[in-house]
Amino acid sequence: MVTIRYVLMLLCIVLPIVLAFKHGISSPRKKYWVITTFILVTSVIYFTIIPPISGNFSDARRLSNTEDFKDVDVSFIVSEIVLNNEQVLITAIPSEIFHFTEKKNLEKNSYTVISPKSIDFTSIEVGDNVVSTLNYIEETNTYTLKKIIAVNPLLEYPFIEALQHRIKNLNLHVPLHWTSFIAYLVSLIFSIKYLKHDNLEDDVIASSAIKIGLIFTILGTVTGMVWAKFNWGAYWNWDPRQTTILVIMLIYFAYFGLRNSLDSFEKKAKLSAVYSIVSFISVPVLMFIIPRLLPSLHPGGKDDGTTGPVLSTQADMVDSSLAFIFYLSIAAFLFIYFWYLSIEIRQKMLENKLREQNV
Amino acid sequence: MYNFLNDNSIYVVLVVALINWFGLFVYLMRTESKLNRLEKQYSSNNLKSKGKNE
Repeated sequence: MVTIRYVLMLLCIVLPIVLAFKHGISSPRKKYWVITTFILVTSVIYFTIIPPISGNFSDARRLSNTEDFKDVDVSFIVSEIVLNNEQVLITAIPSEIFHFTEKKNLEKNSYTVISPKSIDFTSIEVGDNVVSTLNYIEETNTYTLKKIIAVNPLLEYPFIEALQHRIKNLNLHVPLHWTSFIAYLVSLIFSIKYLKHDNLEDDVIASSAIKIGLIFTILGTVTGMVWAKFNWGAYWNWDPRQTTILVIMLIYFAYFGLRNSLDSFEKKAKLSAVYSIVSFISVPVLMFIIPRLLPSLHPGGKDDGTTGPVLSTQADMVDSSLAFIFYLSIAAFLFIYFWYLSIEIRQKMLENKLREQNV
Repeated sequence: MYNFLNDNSIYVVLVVALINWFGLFVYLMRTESKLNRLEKQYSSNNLKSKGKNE
């Protein structure tokens, strides 16, 4: 299972890149590209918004007694339904879905869930996987059902008390930065190519790659700020990861400062190629190394037990369903990236051609 | 507003998704206006070259 996950991850990152290069990075996108992008984006948004988050019975028991009580959605399998005069008694077995909060002591015993008659149970059969909001009543050691959230959902996101539904932001925030890393890598490749072959087209590709990459970096930072407001209390916390991404942003803004300050095309291309190569050296350090060396609000900082939820050495750190949609999301953003990149390159080439005509 | 979003965390996900969509949309709008400018330039170039030929 673990190896399948890594193969899938590699496929989702490598496949868009290989297809883009094979196809010609500056050529117009073919129809299959458009269709794949559409399907990927639609499915990522659907599987991000729609699936429920589900905890287990101990989450409901623990949180029902706290002061700032929040509803907990519990996932269970119905093993018996008994109709009473006033209520429905359900025997529930916790469903075996992996959650990183409590997967080592999976509860095997069954629980009794009491549901008022007002909730419609006609569509639910024995053996169904039900996600529903439960309240724990300490006196009788029973759970009362408040609301049915989903029946037999295709996917369930893990319940984490501090994150709630915000866990789903993982699909919409992290892949943006991974995409921008690929963008800077593409720029590095074409900068080296330019210095080797002295072809102005390579320079156009390198600068466009950085431009679109910067869009993704900015979007990742803004989405991260919104998430930070609700999880950490402020939009900007000078967290190591936030600081390093700001530095990366400044480095690549300076790239355009350098480009626009020079008049000669040859000089502009040569200098910016060298700058792109030099600045890429700092990107892996700033993106992957420094945030792991310092104590951080992000997962995966120093002394953090979760060691980064995605690129962890402990592969089962992340819930399978969460990881699967996350990889799809990376593929979707990469497809969008290479699409935008080809648009940008073609437009720049056209601009250059027109300028030559005018001169 | 803050309290609402804090209690209904799924809407934070929606806001984040909309920010992504909006950012990509802004890029499309910029490209559109740039292409318009280039088209104008191209047609004026064509007019000039026609004038030269005559």
